[in-house]
Amino acid sequence: MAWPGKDRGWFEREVLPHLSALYQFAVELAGLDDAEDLVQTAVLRAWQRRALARPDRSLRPWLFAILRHEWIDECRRRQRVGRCDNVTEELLLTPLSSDPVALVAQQRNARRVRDALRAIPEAFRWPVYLKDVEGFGYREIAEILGLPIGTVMSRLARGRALLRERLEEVAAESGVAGSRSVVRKRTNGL
Amino acid sequence: MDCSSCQRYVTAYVDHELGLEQMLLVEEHVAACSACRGRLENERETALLVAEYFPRLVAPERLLHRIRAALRSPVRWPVRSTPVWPLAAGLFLVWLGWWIGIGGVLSKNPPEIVRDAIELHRHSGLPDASAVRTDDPALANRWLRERLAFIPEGALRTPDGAELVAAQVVTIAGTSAGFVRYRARDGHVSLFLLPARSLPASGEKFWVGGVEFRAYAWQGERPILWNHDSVSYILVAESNREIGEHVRDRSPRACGVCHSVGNEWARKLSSGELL
Repeated sequence: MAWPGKDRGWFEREVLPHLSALYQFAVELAGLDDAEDLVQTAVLRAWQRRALARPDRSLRPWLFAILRHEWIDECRRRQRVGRCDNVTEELLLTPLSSDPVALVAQQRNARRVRDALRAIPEAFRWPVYLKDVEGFGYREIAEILGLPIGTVMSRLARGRALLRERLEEVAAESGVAGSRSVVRKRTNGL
Repeated sequence: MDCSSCQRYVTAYVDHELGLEQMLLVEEHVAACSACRGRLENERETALLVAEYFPRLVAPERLLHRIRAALRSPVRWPVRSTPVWPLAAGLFLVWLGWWIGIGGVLSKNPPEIVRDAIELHRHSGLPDASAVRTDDPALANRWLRERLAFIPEGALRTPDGAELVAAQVVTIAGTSAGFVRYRARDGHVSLFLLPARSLPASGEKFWVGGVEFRAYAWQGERPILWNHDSVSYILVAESNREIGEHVRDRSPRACGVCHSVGNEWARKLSSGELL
């Protein structure tokens, strides 16, 4: 089929720069083992559906929505054969610091934040993830999750509150005074 | 602004999603209220914490290569890494079916325009911002008429047992078409409206209530195509058995369209005679 102006060159230029963000979202949804397959499926699905892509808008939220729908479809398929679990993978953090002490601290905090976010219910987790990790606006999050904007806002507020409670629990368990101390360390250049 | 209003706006304030007027109201309130200021600080800190510390991943290079190769491949259906034996078994069954004589059914590939309609039906989630979201068929009809000159008044109706969700303009097989999405009891129903064209020679031909239809069985979907006035319609649903039940149980009309097709069509769909 032919979509005027939406050839493969256009598609690759517009879509492939978002591959890492899609991969990260796929890891969160499906786990490391299935993330690559999920991204490939979603990108090829986007290629088939490019008639629906609006060239005057960023394709990013549209791609995230497709990825999420593909994962939901995959979960339904797996549930029919009795398996749909998110694989917990080891932290694969892109090192930001060459200082081993700083790197350890960075990895520890990254793990805390990631684990805390994963511990909150999905209804609240995805708005927080899409806003604070991916930087989407409310309208885009609403489009990706298929929710009204008011619901996105309320879930985001609740999600952040739950996340903060969780972080404070983790911080208390590990002997840190509270999540504020983590924040203070961040601002002190940890 | 009181504390309860302020709490409602704090999240949007932190995310820079408030209008100027509301933003100033929040700022004025938190300047005087330590409780709300604390709440705002907490929310902002949590957001910053996630933004800064959540681990960032980079897509493996092999994934980029896989996707580029797949896009250049003539077969562009998403293919998961599947064990070889189910594929071999599937191919064998197709060959066997062909060999014993049911290949005629499988060979009735629909034309490109119907295949595109199936793709959009299968893989379109909620329509994006370019669509009009409404459950009012008159509004959706007017919206489509403003964009597609061939669509007459009254081209859309909401079938019994279904709810209109949205209408959108899409391009299928190089033609601008109306794409109307319904939510039915058992899944989505998609109706495509195109400029009238000759019905294709392929497909299962049947007549009901003086209207000629073409039905297809393709990749698990059973689209139906027909003409009425200046419009060619393509109807795709989760399964035509479900449409058949809707028609048989609730209405003598075809889904969303203004001609009466009667119970004969429903009976054929439900019994699988058309497949």
